[in-house]
Amino acid sequence: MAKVELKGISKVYEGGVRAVDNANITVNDQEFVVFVGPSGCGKSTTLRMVAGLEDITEGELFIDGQKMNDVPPKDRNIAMVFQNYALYPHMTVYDNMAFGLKIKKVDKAEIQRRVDEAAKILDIDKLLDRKPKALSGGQRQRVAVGRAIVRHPKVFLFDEPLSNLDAKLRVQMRAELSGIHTRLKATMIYVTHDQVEAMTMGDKIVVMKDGKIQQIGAPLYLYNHPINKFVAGFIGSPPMNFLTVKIIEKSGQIYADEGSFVLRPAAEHVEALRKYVGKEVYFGVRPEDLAYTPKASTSENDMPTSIMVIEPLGSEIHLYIKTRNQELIAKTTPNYTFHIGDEAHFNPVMEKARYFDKETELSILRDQESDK
Amino acid sequence: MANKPKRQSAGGVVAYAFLALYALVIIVPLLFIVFSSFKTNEELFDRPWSLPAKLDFFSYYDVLINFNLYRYFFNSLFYSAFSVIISLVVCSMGAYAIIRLKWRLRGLCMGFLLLGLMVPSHALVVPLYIFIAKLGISSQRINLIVIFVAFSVSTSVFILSGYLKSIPWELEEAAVIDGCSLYRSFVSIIVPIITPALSTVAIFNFLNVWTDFFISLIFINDQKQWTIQLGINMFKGSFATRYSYLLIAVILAIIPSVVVYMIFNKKIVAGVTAGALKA
Repeated sequence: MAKVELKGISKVYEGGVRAVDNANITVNDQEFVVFVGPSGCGKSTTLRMVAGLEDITEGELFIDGQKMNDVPPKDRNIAMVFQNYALYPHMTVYDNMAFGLKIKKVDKAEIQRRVDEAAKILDIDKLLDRKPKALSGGQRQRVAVGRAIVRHPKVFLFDEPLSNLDAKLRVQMRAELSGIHTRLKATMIYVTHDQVEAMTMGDKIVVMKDGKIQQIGAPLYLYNHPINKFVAGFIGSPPMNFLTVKIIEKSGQIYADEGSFVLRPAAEHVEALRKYVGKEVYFGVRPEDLAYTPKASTSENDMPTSIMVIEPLGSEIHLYIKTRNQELIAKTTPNYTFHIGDEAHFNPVMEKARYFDKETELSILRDQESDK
Repeated sequence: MANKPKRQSAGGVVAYAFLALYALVIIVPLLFIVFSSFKTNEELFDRPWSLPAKLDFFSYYDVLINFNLYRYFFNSLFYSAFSVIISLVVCSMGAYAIIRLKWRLRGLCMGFLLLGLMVPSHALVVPLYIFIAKLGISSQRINLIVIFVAFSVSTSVFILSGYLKSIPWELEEAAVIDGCSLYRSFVSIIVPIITPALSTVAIFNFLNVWTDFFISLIFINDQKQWTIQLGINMFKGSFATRYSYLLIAVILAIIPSVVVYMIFNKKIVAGVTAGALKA
C-alpha cells in the first residue's frame, strides 16, 4: 500500500516566484499518475517536492499516511529516474544498480539477487559489467529504471525519462514502462510534457499550467470533457481547433454563427449555450471530429473551407484549412485526393464539440459534465 | 584493393616541418645538457657540440652523494608531495562548496579566490615573510608547504570549479535518493568523476613546487632543508663554475617533471578542456 497525497502544496522561490500553487493531488496505491504540461508549468517541481529534492513552502505531503514534509529523501522509500539517466559514470551497470543497496548495507547475496532479477526484467543482464558510456541511450535508460527497481521502493518517480530518446525508442520504452508498472504493481508518478505519453501510459493525468493544476482525470475523460480551453488544446494531437463564434437565437433555436457559416449545436448543449446568446464564445472541435464531405451539402452545419497545406501521413491526412476568417486543422482518411487551394466542405460532429467562455476560457458545458 | 599510401597536403607538410623544427628546439638543448654533463670545463668550451670523450659516471656520484644533492632531491619530493596532497584535499572541497552548495557569500568567496590569479607571488613575499614570522611556526618545512598550498589555491579552485560546473546536478540528487550523505556523495560520486581535473591540478602544483626557487630561497635558511633548485644554485660559484656538475644537477631536477608529465599528459588535456563540450 503506497498512497501519495499532496494537500495544498505550494513552492515559492526567493523573489516570490510561485512555481507550484496549491496542488491537491491523490495518487492511489498501484496507480500510474502522469503530471503533464508545457515547460515551466511546475510539474517537475511538484515531483521533486515529492522526492524531497525541493523543500515544500506550503502544504502537506503524505506517503502512506505519514507526513513527509521534513523527511529526507533517503527515508521516503522512493526511487527516481531522471531525464538524463544520472548514472554514475565511473561505476559499472551492476555497481550503479547496487549502489543504493550497498549504502543501506543490504546483504551482498540479496543485492546480487535483486540486481539479477531487475536486469532480467529489463533485459540488461548481459550488460552488467559495462560502464554507462559503453551503452546506448535506451540501455542507459533501462539501467536507470533498474536502479529504481532494485530498491523495491513504495513509489517510483519518473522525471521526463524518455525525453532524450529518439522517437522510435521512446514508443518502445513507453510500452516497456507500462509493462513494468503492470508487473510490479507499484505506485508511479511520471512527469512529461508529451501528451501522447500521458494519454498512453497514465491511469490518471494531472494537467498543469503556470504552477496551477488545471484538471485531474482519466485520459479519455480529459480528452472528452476538458474543463477549459487550455486542457482541450493540450490533450489530443493534432490539437483541438478553436473558432470564435457568436451565439444567436433564431425562432427559438440556438445557433453558433462563425460569420461565413452557421452551426446548430447538439441538443444537449443548447441549454448551457442559451445563457450566451448575443455573446462570442470559443467553439472547440477536434480535427478528427471534422467529417469531410466531398460535395457542398445543403444540410445544416456545412463548413466551407479552402485547403492551405496537406500533410499525408499514410494512414491519415492532416489538412490545414481556412474558413473565410479563421484557420483550423482537419484529420481525414487517405481515401480522397486533395489539392492546395481547393474548396473543401466539412461537417463537425456537434455532439463532440466543446464551447468555452471567451473571458474565463472555462468550458461552458462543465456544469452539466460534472454531473455525469 | 591495395591500400594506397596517403598523400599529405601542402598544409600538412608545412605543419609537420614546423612540428619537427619545434621538436628539435626542445630536444637539442636536452641532449646538449646530457652530453655536456660528462665533459670537463675545458672540453665543454673547446668542443661544445661534440660527443663527450668518455662516459664517466663518477661526477654523478659526486654530485648526488658528496654534494648532498640526493637530500635536496628528496626534500623537493617531500615538499611537492605534501603540497599537492593538501592542495588537492583543500581545493577540491573548497571548489565543491563554492560551486555545489548554496550559501550566501559563495560568489564573493569565488571572486576573492580568483583575485589570487592576478597577484604575482613575488609581490607578496615581504608581507608573507612578516606574516609567517609572526605565526611563529618553527618548522621551515611546514611554513614552506603552507605557502605552496596557499599559492596553489586560486589556480586549483579555478580549474576544479570549471570541471564541477559540468557535472549534472542529477548525479548528486540520484546519490541523495540512494541514501548518500553530503560527505559520501562527495567522496563516492564527485571525486571519482573529477579525477581528470584533480590530475591536472596535481601536475600543475607539482611542477610549480618542484621548479620553485624564489620562495624556497626566501623561506629556507637551513641548508639541510634546501630544495633541489637551491641545490643547483650551489654549483654556480662566484668565481668559478664547474659546469658538468651544474648540468648534472639540472638533469636530475628535470627527470621527475618529465616522468610526471609523461604519465599524466593525457589527463592534463582532459582536465583543462573538460566542460568545453557536452559529454
